[in-house]
Amino acid sequence: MEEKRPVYIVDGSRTPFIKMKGYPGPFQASDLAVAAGRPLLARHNFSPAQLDEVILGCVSSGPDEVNIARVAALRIGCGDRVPAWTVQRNCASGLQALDSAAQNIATGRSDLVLAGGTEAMSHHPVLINDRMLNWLAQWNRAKSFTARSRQLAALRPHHFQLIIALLRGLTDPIVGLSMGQTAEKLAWRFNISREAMDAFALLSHQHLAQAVNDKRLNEIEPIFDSKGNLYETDEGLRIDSDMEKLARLRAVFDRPVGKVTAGNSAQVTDGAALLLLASEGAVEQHHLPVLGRIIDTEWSALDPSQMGLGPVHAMARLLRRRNLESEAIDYWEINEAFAAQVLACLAAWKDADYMQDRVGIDRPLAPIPRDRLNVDGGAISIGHPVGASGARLVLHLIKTLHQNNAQTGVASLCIGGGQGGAMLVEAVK
Amino acid sequence: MKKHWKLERTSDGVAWLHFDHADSPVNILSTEAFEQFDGILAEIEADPPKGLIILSDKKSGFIAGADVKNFRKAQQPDQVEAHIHQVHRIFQRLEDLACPTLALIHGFCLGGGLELALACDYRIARDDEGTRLSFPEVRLGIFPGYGGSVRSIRLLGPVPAMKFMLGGRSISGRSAKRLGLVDQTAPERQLKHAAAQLLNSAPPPHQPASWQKLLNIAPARQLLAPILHRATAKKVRKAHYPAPFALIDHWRVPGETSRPCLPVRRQIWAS
Repeated sequence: MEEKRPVYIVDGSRTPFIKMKGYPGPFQASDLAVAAGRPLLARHNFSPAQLDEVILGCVSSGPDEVNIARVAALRIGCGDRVPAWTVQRNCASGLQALDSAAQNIATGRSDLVLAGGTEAMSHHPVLINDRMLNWLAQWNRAKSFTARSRQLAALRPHHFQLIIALLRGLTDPIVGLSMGQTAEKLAWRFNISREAMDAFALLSHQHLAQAVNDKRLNEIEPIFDSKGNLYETDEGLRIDSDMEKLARLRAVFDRPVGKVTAGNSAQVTDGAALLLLASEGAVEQHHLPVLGRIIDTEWSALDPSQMGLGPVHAMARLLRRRNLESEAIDYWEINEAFAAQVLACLAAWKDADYMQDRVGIDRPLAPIPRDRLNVDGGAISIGHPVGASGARLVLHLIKTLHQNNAQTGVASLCIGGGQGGAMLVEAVK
Repeated sequence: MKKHWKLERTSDGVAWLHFDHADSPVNILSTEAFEQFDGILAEIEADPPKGLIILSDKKSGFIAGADVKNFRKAQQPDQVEAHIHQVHRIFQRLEDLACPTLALIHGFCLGGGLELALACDYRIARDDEGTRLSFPEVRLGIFPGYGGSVRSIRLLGPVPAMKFMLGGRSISGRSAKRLGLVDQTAPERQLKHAAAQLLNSAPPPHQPASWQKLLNIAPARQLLAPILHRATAKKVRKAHYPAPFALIDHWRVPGETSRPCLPVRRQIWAS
């Protein structure tokens, strides 16, 4: 294999993550990408038109922005001549965008790439059903008064049944389980109690609160909506959360007996995170600062009903390929889709049988230290705009490495449908 | 030595009674299993737990029914009657336990197995395709004789219970929940948790709809029985299938409400 070119992380920005409140939020997914991208590019000494490409991850973009990366690139001001494309790998779409960008830089096809992810989950479509579509088709064909009357008389309540794309998207079509139910399954398998989940969720909020206090989230760019409201911080943070309040919440999945609640799951949010990646040549040419390097990425797949364990598979194989021990990793980010799911990952990582039989790792790996995992909170407190989270994790991980004068980190996500993705990064000082 | 049952008490004070019939791939209610079960009930009476959960350790299911040998061996109707009396006493003992009781059902729960479950205060069925509950007796020319007919009528009301017993078809956990035969369904991953939680909250046991209760009073039975007769006659001929008709007649007779369908069963058995 020929030696690949190094991939540098120059800089990155993200929007505050805006909680879904039951109605479409103030920003479309492309608005969010633009809000993260413009200030990021403005900080650097080159014109957006000099980018080689823009790659965005997005699970479900709006009907006006199907190739949302191109829409965002044009709106950011890259001009007509910067190609842009959108990638989709469910919850790891943002990580996929970074990996795709890194690949192109490593092989020499690109030198300077804007990559990341964006998602406006509050704008995910609500669809009309096939029966209604058939009715509409017949209505269009009915020309006479009688034909139209007959058609009108055929209208039934079920024609008006709507399909909530967000809920459908969060249900695995192969195994028929919602993502929350897959988390319930992991909780059962690894004997994870409700208290352990709630304690993990509380810690996520406490970590985020501490990070906000210490002003460690300097990657957030404030954003105004059309009414002039300012959004500066992640709305998911509940500083007043405590174990008692969390314990009072009811199960959302496997009702009434489930353990996964809204309190110990990732929050449905809108947000975008973008990174600027560059080759060595581009760094020199544009005198760019360098935060770190993307070393390698691993993708793994597993039983869709156990999708939450995806990070275990991806991270273990990534470490094996790079010949690294757990101890070599200074900081870990595992996306908090569900508290149960992250706890299951930690349990599986220590479970020699699981690692051998399911992941194919013979040598036991040292446990992931809790004080090096998601140190500034995670999707439970910050939110999980599915397309953006992968990019947020990598961006914050590289900041964490700098803030703690550390070297190596791994960012990983579980992926609906039964996959896991993990990216190995190194800080450059 | 109880080789078919294992009683386990957890720290929260709940007793879990695992049924795992030795030398058999499925759980059947053999004479030996009944005897040991009776012994365990005595233990539980002596030292009552906070609640009792009965479950099966067999992959195939809860209980596939009574052991046919219980009847075949007994050549004389008297012996069959003695056996049935014995089982009535055991199930009554289960029903009379001071603590709340729950049957945790997965896979096949048939005939005598379902009758045992009905003698519990609560039932939870696993929510999957493999879970089937049924009274297949009528199809075999008998009807539920371990108290299941009385208990299912008490639980569901006469019309749904009769339809269920007369049809002899098997239903899923979800259908059983709709019918009221089980209190709750849960996927495998939540089954034990659901059982512990239901015992802990111990709500009042399921009741039939009030109009169904009305149908169970003696005068209503006199009116309803002929209707059930006619409906049944549309499906089967009495000369060939006496069991369903016998079940209806037995229910119609006043005074038989509380007493399980014993005499007619014996009668059918003998004929």
